[in-house]
Amino acid sequence: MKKQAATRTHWRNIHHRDKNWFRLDNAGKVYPAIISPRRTSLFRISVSLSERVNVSKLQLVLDKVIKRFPYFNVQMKAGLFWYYFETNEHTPLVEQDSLYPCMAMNVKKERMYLFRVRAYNNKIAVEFSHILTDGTGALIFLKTLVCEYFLELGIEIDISKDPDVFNIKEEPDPMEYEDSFKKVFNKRLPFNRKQKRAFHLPQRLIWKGHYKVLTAVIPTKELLELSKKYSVSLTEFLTALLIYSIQEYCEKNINSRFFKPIVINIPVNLRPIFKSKTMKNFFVPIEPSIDPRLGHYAFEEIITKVHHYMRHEVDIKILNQQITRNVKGEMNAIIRVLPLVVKNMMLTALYDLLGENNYSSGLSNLGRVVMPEEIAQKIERMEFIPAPSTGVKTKATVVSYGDNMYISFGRLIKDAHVEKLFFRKMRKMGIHVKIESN
Amino acid sequence: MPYCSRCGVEVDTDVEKCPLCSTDIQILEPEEDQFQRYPSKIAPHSIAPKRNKKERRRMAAIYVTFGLLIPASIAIAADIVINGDVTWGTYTISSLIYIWVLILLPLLYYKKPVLTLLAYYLSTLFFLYSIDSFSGGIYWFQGLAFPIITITAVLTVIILFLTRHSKLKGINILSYCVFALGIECIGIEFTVSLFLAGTISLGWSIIVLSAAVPAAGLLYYIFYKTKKPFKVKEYFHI
Repeated sequence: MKKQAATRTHWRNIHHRDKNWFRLDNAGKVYPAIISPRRTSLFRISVSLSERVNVSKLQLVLDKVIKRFPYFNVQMKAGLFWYYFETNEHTPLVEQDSLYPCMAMNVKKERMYLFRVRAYNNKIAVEFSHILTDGTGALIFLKTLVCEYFLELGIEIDISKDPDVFNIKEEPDPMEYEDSFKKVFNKRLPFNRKQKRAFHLPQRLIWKGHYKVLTAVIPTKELLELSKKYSVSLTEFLTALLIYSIQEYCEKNINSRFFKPIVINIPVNLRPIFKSKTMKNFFVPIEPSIDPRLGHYAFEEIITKVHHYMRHEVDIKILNQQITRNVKGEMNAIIRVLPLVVKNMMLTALYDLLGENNYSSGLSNLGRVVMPEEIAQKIERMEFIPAPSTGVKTKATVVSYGDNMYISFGRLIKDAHVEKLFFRKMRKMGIHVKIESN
Repeated sequence: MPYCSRCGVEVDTDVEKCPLCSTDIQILEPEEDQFQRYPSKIAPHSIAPKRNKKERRRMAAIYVTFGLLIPASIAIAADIVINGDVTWGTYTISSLIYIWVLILLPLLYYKKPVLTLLAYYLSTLFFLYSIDSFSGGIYWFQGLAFPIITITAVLTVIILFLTRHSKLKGINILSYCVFALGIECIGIEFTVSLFLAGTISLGWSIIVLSAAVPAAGLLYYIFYKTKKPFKVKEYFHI
């Protein structure tokens, strides 16, 4: 029996390596339906070096690195029932940067990559479509690319210490291809999720192709000390602050009759929880909220609510319940046999109904990024920019590198209403904030 | 570092207005060594890579297939409408299939010339066989078509072999072809006379060969002479 099972695994591995088409993962399947010139599904992670980037060297390195990531070396094609990835026989080119990041790329086109590498002055940026992977997958790719870039420049780095830097000479692990959602879901779990329509900013969207990004540079130490004072984690502190800012915006600008719950969408990286090595999407959102119709919430109240909500929700069983809901939807026989055109129409409506309608903004924390010590001095900073969203209009992302934390807001409206309240409140708490924008 | 007086946040030296509240900020001299964060222009849309040779060949194969399907279906339909049955349509269909094979094989198997040639040979034979059999039983296929096609195939293979193995490719290839044409004519007359009269008698093909041999020789001589640069000074020195 054991031998038989081993042979089966072996054959599955070979199968994985040789086949030149891949299924989209459970979370990725939604995005192709909802992509538009504004909602591009692209998010960006970038590093700024202490010196100008050598673009020709970077291209050389990209050619080598992409071979280690066959699941990213793809184009998307439409099947009869689902979209699928097919190996792209071309080479991705390093592109110039734009005033508006995460825009102007139609990933549904034939032969188009679902990510791009951009270089500008001292910055190397990767923009990934959420169809392909999430922040963790993109970060591993970027770290590998940057390490190889420095190796190409002649700096010796010991990459074996960091599991998030892949050795490009090694074969990809079959586990990296897996759709972990499908692996962990349990079809016997009951459905339990209350959806509520959340507050959305009422402003009109700006021009197609425009995307306003605002990045705040904040000393991590100051923020950590502050969140320690409230005895909560950094994500919890920032989430509470974001909820508080939106509440303040509502109280100042919206008639209280039109108040709606304020919900923040926070993706949870499931890899450490479910011990997965996948390079595809593997996250589910949790949604802490307050209801301003019930009265004004003080900041301390919000922070307590968020803290306990997160402790309650980040639980392997409850997370699995949500995964199961999503996977069951995908595995449903009736949904599966619907032609792609019909599915696309349904998914667009469903995404608004079950997705963006139910949260007011998002906050995604990539955590603390560490680079190999040999090159840590040569990397000045990192940035993480959220994917543009037409429904919630402004979203936040957080990444910390070195001594600083970089909080980026991406918005599709003209003025930075929420951001202004968010950072002013932070300043009042005595934290130093430096703001940059495009 | 400049500050926004209303928000209290720090901003870059070259910023005119606060990114949060749009309050004017006094511009300071930018620091020299600082890189600009974003370009001032919007980059054009990312474009997908152009089709490579393999993809272009694949596309061509699809176009050819559907392009040939149109006359094929018209022929069948017209034949059925006019005659009530498939009669002359078989000729059209078999010719179209033959053309399809001729075009498609080098498109898809351009890396395997031997296989392509073999397939060309077999499909030509099959095409002629089908024409022969459609026109009322096998008559000229065995006696004429098969030997002539075989001789042509053998000569083609020899020429291709020589071409592959000659270091310089130029007028020498033409010379091989002319010579092969002479041989081909001998073969054709040989086959035809055997088929028609049952005896071997060579006439006109000898004349063709006698012209082809010196012509090929001349071509080869020209090739031989011109393959090195002609040394005028040395040749004409007094």
